[in-house]
Amino acid sequence: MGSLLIREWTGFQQFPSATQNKLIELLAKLKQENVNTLTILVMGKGGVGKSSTVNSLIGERAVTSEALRPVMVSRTKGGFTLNIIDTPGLVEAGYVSYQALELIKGFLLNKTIDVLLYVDRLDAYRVDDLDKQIIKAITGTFGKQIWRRSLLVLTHAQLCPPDELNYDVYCSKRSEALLKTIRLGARIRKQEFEDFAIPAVLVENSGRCNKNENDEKILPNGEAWIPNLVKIITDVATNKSKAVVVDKKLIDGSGSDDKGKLLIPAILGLQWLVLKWIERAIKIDIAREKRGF
Amino acid sequence: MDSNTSAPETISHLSGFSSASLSHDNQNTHNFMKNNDSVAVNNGKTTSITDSNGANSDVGSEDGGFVSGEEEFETPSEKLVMDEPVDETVKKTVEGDDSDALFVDSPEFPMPNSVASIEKVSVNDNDADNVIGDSKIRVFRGEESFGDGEEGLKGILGQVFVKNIEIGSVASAENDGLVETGSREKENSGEFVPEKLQGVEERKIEVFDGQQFVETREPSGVVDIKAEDVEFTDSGDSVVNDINLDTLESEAAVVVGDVEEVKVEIKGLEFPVNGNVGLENGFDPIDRVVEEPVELKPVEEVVSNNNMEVTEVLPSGKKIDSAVVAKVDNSDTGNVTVDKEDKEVIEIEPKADSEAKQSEIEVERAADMSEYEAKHSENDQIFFSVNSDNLENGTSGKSESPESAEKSTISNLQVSLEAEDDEDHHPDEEYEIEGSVTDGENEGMVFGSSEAAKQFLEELEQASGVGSHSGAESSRDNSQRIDGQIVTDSDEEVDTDEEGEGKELFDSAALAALLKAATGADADGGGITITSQDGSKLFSVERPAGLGSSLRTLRPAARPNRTNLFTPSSLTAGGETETKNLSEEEKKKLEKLQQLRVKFLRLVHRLGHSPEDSIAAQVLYRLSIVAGRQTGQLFNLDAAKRTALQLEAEGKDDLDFSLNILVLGKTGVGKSATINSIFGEEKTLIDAFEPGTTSVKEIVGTIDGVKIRVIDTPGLKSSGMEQGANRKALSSIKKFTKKCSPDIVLYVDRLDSQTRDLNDLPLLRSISNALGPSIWRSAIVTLTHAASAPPDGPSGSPLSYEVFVAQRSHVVQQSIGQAVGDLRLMNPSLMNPVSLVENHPACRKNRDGQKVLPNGQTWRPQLLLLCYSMKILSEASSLSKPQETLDHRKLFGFRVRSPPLPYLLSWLLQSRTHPKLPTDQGGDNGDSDIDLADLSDSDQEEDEDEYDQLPPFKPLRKAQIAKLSKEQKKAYFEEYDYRVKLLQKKQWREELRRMREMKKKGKVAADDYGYIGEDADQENGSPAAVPVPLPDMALPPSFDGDNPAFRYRFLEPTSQFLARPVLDTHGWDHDCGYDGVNLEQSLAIASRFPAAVTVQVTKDKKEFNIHLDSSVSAKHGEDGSSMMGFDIQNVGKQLAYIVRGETKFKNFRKNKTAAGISVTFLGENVATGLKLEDQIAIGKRLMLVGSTGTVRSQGDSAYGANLEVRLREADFPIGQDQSSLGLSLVKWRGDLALGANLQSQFSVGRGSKIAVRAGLNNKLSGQISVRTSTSDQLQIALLGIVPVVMTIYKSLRPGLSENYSMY
Repeated sequence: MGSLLIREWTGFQQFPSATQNKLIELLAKLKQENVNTLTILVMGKGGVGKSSTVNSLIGERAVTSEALRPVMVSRTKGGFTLNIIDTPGLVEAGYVSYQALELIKGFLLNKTIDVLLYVDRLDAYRVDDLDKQIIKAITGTFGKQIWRRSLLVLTHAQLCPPDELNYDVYCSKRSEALLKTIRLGARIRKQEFEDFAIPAVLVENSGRCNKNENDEKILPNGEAWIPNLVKIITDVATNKSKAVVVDKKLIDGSGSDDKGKLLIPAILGLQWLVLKWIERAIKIDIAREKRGF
Repeated sequence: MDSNTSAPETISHLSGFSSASLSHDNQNTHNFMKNNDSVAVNNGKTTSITDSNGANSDVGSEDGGFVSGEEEFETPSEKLVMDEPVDETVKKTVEGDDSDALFVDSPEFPMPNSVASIEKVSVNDNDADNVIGDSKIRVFRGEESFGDGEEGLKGILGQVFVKNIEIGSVASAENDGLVETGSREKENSGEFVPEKLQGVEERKIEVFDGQQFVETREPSGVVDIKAEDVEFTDSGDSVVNDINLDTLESEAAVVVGDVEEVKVEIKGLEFPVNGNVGLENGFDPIDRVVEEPVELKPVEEVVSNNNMEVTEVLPSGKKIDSAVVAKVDNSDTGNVTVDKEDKEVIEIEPKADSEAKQSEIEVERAADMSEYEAKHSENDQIFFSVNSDNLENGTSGKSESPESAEKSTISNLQVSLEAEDDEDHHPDEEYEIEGSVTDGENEGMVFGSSEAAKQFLEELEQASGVGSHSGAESSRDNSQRIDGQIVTDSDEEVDTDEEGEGKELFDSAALAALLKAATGADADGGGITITSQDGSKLFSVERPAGLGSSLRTLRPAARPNRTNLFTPSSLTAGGETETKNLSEEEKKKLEKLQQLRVKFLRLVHRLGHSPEDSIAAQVLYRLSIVAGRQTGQLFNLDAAKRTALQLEAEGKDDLDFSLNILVLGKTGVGKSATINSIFGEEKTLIDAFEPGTTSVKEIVGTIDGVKIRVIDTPGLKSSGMEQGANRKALSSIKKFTKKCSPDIVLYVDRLDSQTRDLNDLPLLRSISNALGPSIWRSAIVTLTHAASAPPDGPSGSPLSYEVFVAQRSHVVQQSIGQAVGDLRLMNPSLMNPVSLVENHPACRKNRDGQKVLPNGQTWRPQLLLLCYSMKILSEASSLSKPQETLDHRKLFGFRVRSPPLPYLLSWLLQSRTHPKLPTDQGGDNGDSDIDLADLSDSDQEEDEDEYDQLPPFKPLRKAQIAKLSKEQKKAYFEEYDYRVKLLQKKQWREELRRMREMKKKGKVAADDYGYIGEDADQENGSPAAVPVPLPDMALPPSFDGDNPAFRYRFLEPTSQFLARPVLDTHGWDHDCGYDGVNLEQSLAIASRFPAAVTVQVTKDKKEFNIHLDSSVSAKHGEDGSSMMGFDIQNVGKQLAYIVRGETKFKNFRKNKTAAGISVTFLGENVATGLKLEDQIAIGKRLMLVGSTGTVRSQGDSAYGANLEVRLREADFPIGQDQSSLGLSLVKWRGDLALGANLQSQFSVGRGSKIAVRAGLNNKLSGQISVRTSTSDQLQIALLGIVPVVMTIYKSLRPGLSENYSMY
């Protein structure tokens, strides 16, 4: 499954040399940790820039945004393999698209997810219930532990904040709002959540992105974002938590709510008792009537 | 140019068949055709006037070219023509021959590359190069038009037309150029031609832009072969300037129509001056063409060609219309041109004004020519290119001209592709309407011109100046042209077109939406344009009825037209009387409209827009449509403009205009920020992360003297799970809007969100549900964050801003359409207008401090203008509504709207029971006679015996039954049922017998009635004599005001009146179940004539309905009765009064025949109907009822027939099983409707009854309903639970179900 051809990471050459150097450094670090394969899952609502982010990471236009099913892009460089799985948007007509989720699950079968990128826009101002639903759906699919391996990617980072807010203030507010949603949606205890703080990374995929003197794409705060993104990805990939292995059990077990399973016989029994009781009452009643008649 | 004909004057075939050789003076553009009239011109030597001024000088010999054009279509005729010219002028004749050959070639020309064709032209130039070019054109026409001797002329025309049709004007321009070149060749062979060619090309381009213009030109070119020469000269001038060229082309076309003379004139005046003029001229030529045909036999052909063109025009839209106009004008101008060159030019201008009017004419023609329409599309592009090539070849300019031609074609294609089409259609429609109005004027002008060139000139000037109003109104294009004046028009058009492309995305959609909003019904009118192909119908309808008298006279025959043309008085007089004839009511309406217009213009002015702005122009145009044709001088646009400017200059703050805006949208998209931006100040709090608005708020402010009240609303949630919260918010919004209803709804969304996943569907649905789908009618889609950069397209490079916006708008609009479920909203032309908004404080600003979008728009005034426009239009449409029908009638010549004949027919065909004297009333009313007869005799005795002979039967008690075994029970029930049935039968029979006796007695007792009057019933003791009150409903034990039984209890049992409430189960208000009263009474008039009256009156907030049935019958012996009836009922918004009479007689024992007539008065209509009905009883159980009838109103008839078979149980009144199969057939206006209906009710077992109803018609729509009632099969009821449970389940798990339903 997913035995796509793994191609040389040619897009790597497209990066500015400064970026390349930083990336090579990071890859070397990964190798030190004995990580030779990195599988990144990219999820999020539709239209937030998942595919663009993937393309930016790969350095070429590997996936298109119209994909209706998950797509895995694999690139190798110097013995290191980078797999990025782009997924369709998780929202359909105002609801979480469970169909898309099923597709993703099927696609991920027998794969190991090292990192989850949860993508949203930086320049959206509100977090609503739908976001929570999506988080819930993801959590339901992969379990809470997926969030220990995830980072929040905020696209469209090249913006001028409204309300004359400071850029950094705006970004932190926005990421805070989203992280809170993740916490609530995934039902992670606050304390626990703070322990493995999900990092937020800013991304600007547009061709209009500003560049610095090294020709690196930079954010309004002057940071070159691609190396930063990769760095944080490696950080997450090498943190102590376990990578999520998607197996049959995870998939089958997910989605359905197991909590009440044990109660089923009990409830059945209760129902049976109630029925018996009612029957008896009726019989008694009939008998009484006959007598009266 | 071509080396050809040495003589300066070459004979041009233009004029058609007869030799229309035009001799053009190369040296001067003003050369004339010698023969003013087509004949003269043709014959000879029409001198083609060429402006051989420096660069411009391209006055070709048009004639030759035209002639060749004829070949394809009407080769023979053209040849003839050519020959004639040849004879006249040696060179020309030669050309003619050549031209034929060339023509042959010319068909080839249609090749896409214009260059090639040009080359051919050049070849022809000497001889018939021009002709070749023309030939192509002709071919088109030929196909479309007719194969008659007229062909020659037609051919010429055809070419022009073809061009017109496709992209129209370009092609015509080419034709003209070709023609011109030909003439020029003769005169000045080479130089002029090239220039002209260029000019032509340019014109073509313009045409593309202006679509309409192009078309007009083409036709004219065809028409006026001679004129072409003139045009050429003009074109030569125009060649110098692209703009000029455009004009020239159009002019050239005109010239053609006029023949040589016209052309000459044009050259002198117009060339240098106006491109626009040229366009206008183009229209004129068309007219001329018409005239010419009239004059000459060939001319007739031309006329036909013109018609064809017209039809073509219709499909293409405005252009077509204008082309038609041009034709009309041309004919007139042609005459004028003979007189003076200057006059011709002038004429051209007026023509432009009158384009709209002409368009009407076109419509008529189109009707004639509807056949041709199909051809148009094919021919257009190809022909155009060919023509341009020819032109180029003709002269030095060859190389250039092909290019231009190509361009023009390209532009044409684009135009056609673009959304503009929709707009164009609208304009077309409008044109047609207006056209009829203005026809009088145009014609008048034409006539004048024919009489005196000076008059024409004057008129033209007026038209261009003041007169232009009609044109402006008719369409944006027109208005622009008019405003710009001829000279500048071409430039403006080009510019506007280009802009249009840029803005088009917004404007076209927005405008279309505006139009829709303002005049939903008008779209039908528009249908005319659309119907170019179906047009025949519409036209045919219109023609008889309606166009201006002058037009009508013109159309039927060319000759009459001519005469009309020459009698200027009739036309002008007609126009004036029109205005004078305005009724008070209309005047009032016009005044109001004018006020609206002034108001709007002031608003536009305050916003810093010009009335030529596309939105504003559309609104003005729409207003003028509403005003109808009777826009006199008092109420025209210019007057409004003056008033507006004056008022604005005075600085009066008396603008009585306010705006209520409701702002809706998702949370966080910038609703409040948009409001702040609109007001330009911090009116409401905004916050980037928290919802800034938590409750519905009203924000009032004043902008430019306009009081604006904005209702800011809390953001809605897009999540499907949160629609409950949305509903709450929306209900509070609804409460708010009840207080002050919004004029405009801004639906706000972000431009830069790119989801395609229909995320907002639940939200949009909630809005539609809560506020009603109609909320979207006044909605503007407002996209915030409009300054955000477009995302990368599929190619990796960023999308253009326009594409980006268009895509996003489309997504939002489609979502809305989907949410509303209104397919009409999915129609691109009916979508909500879109406006862009950028609230970011860092947004780029222009010098005035207005925020500017990436596309250069300043969004705030645009948004306000859109709001104002929508409000103004809605006001205007409310103003015009009551008169809309009237207007249509007048405009389209519809007769008074014909009554719904099929409905009347079905009413008529209903078989009715004749009221009977109370004593006659048996258990069943209508058919009791038959039953009596049938049941009376034989069977009766036996049956009765049967019951009596049965052994005694003792019903068992419940307890006893319980003890029975299953079989015993079954047997018992069977026996029981049988006995019950027999008993019922017996009772029924007894009743019948009693009735029969009464009947016998009745004859005797008739006197009794006389004496005793109505009380007789009671004395007779007949059971039916006293109206039995409704049985009291079982009352609940305690009083409950909500229980209908208490509410509607019938408390007056003894009155002769039967009064009942009309319960409407589908009432929209839950707490009030009835909104009507039903009164019934039956009585006997003079104790002899039974009568029955039923009145039902219902009234709710929206409408009042009355339905009265009354009938009186008289009996003629045993076997016959007659009935007179009078009904009143609502038909649409009118009351229909129906008087009907019917006589029924029993001709055989089993057969009853009835014949009836009815007269219906509906509004101003009287519909008469006739029916014949026959009932045959076949046996006791089967009854055959057949009826047929017709209803006729104003020459319109509907025919219908019904056949019904009824089958009922043998013991009918007791057993209720019966089935009926009905077939009905209605034919109306060529439409045949066939329907079948099956109804059956039967009982199943003891306690259940099933009623099945099925209907199907020939449109393949039908329905089936099955109704089951049962008292012992409980499980059947369970079937009904399934859907209920499903619904509950779905509502509980909306997420799931909706999710999966998507796939």
